[in-house]
Amino acid sequence: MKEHATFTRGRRLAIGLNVLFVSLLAPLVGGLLLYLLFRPELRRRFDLTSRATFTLSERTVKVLASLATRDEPIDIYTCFRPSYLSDSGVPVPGLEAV
Amino acid sequence: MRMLRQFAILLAREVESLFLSPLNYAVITIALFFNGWSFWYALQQYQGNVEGAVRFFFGQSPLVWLVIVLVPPLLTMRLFAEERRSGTLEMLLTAPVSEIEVVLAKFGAGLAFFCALWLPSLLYLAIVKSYGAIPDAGSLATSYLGIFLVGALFTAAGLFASSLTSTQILAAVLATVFNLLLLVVPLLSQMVQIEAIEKFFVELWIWRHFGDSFAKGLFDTAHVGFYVVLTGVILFWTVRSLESQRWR
Repeated sequence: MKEHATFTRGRRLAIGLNVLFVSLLAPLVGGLLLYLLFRPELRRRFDLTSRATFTLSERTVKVLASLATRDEPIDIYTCFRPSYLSDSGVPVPGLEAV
Repeated sequence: MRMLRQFAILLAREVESLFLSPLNYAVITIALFFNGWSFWYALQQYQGNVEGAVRFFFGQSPLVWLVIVLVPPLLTMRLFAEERRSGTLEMLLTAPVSEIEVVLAKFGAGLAFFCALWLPSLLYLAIVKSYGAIPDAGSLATSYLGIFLVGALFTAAGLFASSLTSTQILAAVLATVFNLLLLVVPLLSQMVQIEAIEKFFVELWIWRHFGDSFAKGLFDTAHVGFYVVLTGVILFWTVRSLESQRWR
């Protein structure tokens, strides 16, 4: 009886293409997950600093809430430090020109 | 249950081989020297402001980032490359264990060693505390979490590089280049002056994800997810790379 090779060149090529396809698909799935994770509806932030440095105070929240009910236009003044680095020393994109 | 037991056995084997390797102790000694020097420098620079010094140490110190970038490739370079060179990889792959178990066990061992490297830094904090300065516990916890996540990402990258070659040095170089690219490319992309490219690379900038949350004392699910997803993708590639041994 003649034996036939089951692990042929064509089969190897098919498995190789499958691996390549799945490997390229993985970063796409990862990208999609990241897109979802960075959506404001799903994103959660917890300020663990002892003085709640990055949390708005109750008073600020009240002021912001009262602004929402105002009819007249509001002038907003923003102040930037002469640096495009954040508190942690990381450059903030878009602030280089300021 | 059987899978867990097999994984535990593989993990114990890998942890043992990592902790018994003299080379790894040389790596740990150099890393501790850099970390100690960096912490001393941070305290000098911030003149007693412990909070600022700790934030600098974990988030901005170039020496600490050098340790984070260079140590994982040195720890992981031999994990697959050495097995392939000595011919034990075939034995491992023909044993009744899956590729996922093998990869996760090696990844777990590499990460455990990386974490062990950071344990002595708790001593610095204890010394600072003995002088009456108390660092912010929340910031410390998120900083350690950040280092753990970056370490996991770089360990996965090192493991992937090691699965591609039978030469340890080549694996270490490949992984180091990959780690440096994640740190440097966003900076270089700013020179291109094309907003879309710049934005894309800034989103991938691991230093930004670290500095904008963990180093400040913030626990941000998006930034945690960023590291977890990237690590997961690279580990997936490693499993595929290992599987390819069967049909290549």
